[in-house]
Amino acid sequence: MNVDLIFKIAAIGILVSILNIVLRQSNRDEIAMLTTIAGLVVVLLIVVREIANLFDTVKALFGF
Amino acid sequence: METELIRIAGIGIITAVIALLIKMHRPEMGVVLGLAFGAITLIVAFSKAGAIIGVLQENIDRAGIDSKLLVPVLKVTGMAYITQFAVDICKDAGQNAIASKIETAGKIMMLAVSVPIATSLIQMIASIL
Repeated sequence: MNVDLIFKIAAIGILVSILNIVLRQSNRDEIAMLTTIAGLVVVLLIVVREIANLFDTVKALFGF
Repeated sequence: METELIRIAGIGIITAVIALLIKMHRPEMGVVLGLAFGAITLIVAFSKAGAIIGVLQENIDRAGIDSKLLVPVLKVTGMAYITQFAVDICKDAGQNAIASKIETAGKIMMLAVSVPIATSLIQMIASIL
């Protein structure tokens, strides 16, 4: 039960949203958009590995 | 087993609150957070379920029923879990159309897997009558 994964994703999410607001204040909207996309890609990479792990467990368990 | 459940419930509540906080600013992060928690919890749950299936197989072998019949049943159960997992995530993300498409595809695949069992059942009934 690796809980740190959830808190890592939460931390990245909060960081990206703060960065987004700060960058939007100093009217650099394009950079804000880029950081949002970068944050999302990082988080998705982590989550996709976890989902692949889940699907392997299901495959092994239910005899796919 | 019970302490594991208590941990999952506690972490689930915390994750839900954090997801709500993140959803205000970055909606997609909230969905991904729910997805991550779902995957982790199911991995823990399925790793515990291995023992149950082992016991099931033992009882079926002892009862004399050939375990070939159990394979499609387990397969359909696994497919049902995966379909439900995907549908819930899509509904969480607000994509009801995608969710229903996955559900329809899942049902058709499950039917396809369960056809052999249905035919063997029908043959068994025909042979009795």
